Amino acid sequence: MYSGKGPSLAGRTISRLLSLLALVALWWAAAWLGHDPGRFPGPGAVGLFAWHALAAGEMLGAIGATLGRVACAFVVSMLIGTAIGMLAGRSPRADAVIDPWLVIALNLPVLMVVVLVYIWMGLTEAAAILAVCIAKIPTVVVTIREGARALDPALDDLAQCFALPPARRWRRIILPQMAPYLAAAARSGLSVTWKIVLIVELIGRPDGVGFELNLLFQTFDVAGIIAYGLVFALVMLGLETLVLQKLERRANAWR
Amino acid sequence: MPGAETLRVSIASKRFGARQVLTDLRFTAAPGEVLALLAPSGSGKTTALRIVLGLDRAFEGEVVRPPGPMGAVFQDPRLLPWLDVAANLRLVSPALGAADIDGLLALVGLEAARLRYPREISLGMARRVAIARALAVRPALLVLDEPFASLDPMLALGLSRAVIARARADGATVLLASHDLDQALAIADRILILGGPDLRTNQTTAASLRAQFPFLSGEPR
Repeated sequence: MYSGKGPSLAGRTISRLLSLLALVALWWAAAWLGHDPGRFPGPGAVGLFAWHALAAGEMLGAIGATLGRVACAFVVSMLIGTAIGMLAGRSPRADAVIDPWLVIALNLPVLMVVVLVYIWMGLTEAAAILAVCIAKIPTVVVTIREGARALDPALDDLAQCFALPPARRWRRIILPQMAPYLAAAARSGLSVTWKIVLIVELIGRPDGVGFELNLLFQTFDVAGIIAYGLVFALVMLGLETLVLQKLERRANAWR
Repeated sequence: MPGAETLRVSIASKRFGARQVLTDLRFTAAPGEVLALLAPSGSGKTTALRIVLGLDRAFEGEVVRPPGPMGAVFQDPRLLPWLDVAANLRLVSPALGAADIDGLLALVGLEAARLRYPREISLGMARRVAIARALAVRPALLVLDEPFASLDPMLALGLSRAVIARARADGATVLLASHDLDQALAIADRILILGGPDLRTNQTTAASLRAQFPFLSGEPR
């Protein structure tokens, strides 16, 4: 039953923590019942692996390499995707040209893109970033195009009447209207980007979390695979909550 | 002979698809002059103003605007909701100092609203901020679309006189669209009735205008 104002913030935090604890307990129980720590290790074994790998520095190095690629691909995708999305949203003619490409790009299997780019460009850093961008840009374009279509023409008229210079028009009129869409594109963008980066690393990079996962796969080190996956997911979750959500809240503060 | 500073509007024809909205609307207005465009709602006043402002270029004819900045007050206030009142004024005129902003807001009776956001003020107040914003650029051409509608009538009269006086002092050409004859008579030098004559207000009276143009009396405020 949900009545009145609902549970308080503290109440909800406690519920979340309990739920998380229950998941760990369930995992621990399943591992204990499974009796096969090699193929299905419990939280203890995974935690121990993570601790050793972090202490030895190799995990931090891998996470650093991956974060670098994520940041690079994220920034490039946002810049290019935003530019194309604005164009498509503002000009119906440009949209007619861009839209068919977009439909195809959105439906390309990511794995195919990665493999093809590596074949054509070699196993290079540039190829890795390019592959992630090709997979990522279309989703940015779709979100930003929605935002550009929703721009209020009445405010365009206002800017034109008062002959606002382009810089002020962008900063004061267009950007504030686009902010929620930029934030949404960034948020979904980040989570998509890091998952694709892992694939790119798994297939053709000599370092990074994806590369480590590949090594661990070859030795069937399940504790290591879970440890790398979980720690990196936690790092990305932290980045998202700390940086992106804060930006999003700032963008919407006036509401 | 009109000078280079004169607003010259000559709209031979404006249509939206098959619908003819304006035909043969021609007028001029000199700096310091207040011309009211009077017509019932839905008769093309707003379209005419959009053409004068250069927002609608799909028409047959020509518009020559006086050189210099334009100020416009639309029917809706069009304040930017993410900027406070003072920042909304600075949007169109970044050089405004605190004293300038206080002066403009005092003119429209909103000294206390400087730091309020548009969502925190009433529609009537927002419309007055929009008027202050239009004056903030010291316009050579000031275009007002029903600016005092929905304001309290007593307030509207005082406010409209103050605004017109300020615009005149800056040498602005003022073009005002209205459906309110009394208001037009109170502040305009000339009244142009859409589809009717172009009148000097001092040569005519409200009563005779009402007899001639019945729509002017039946219009709701």
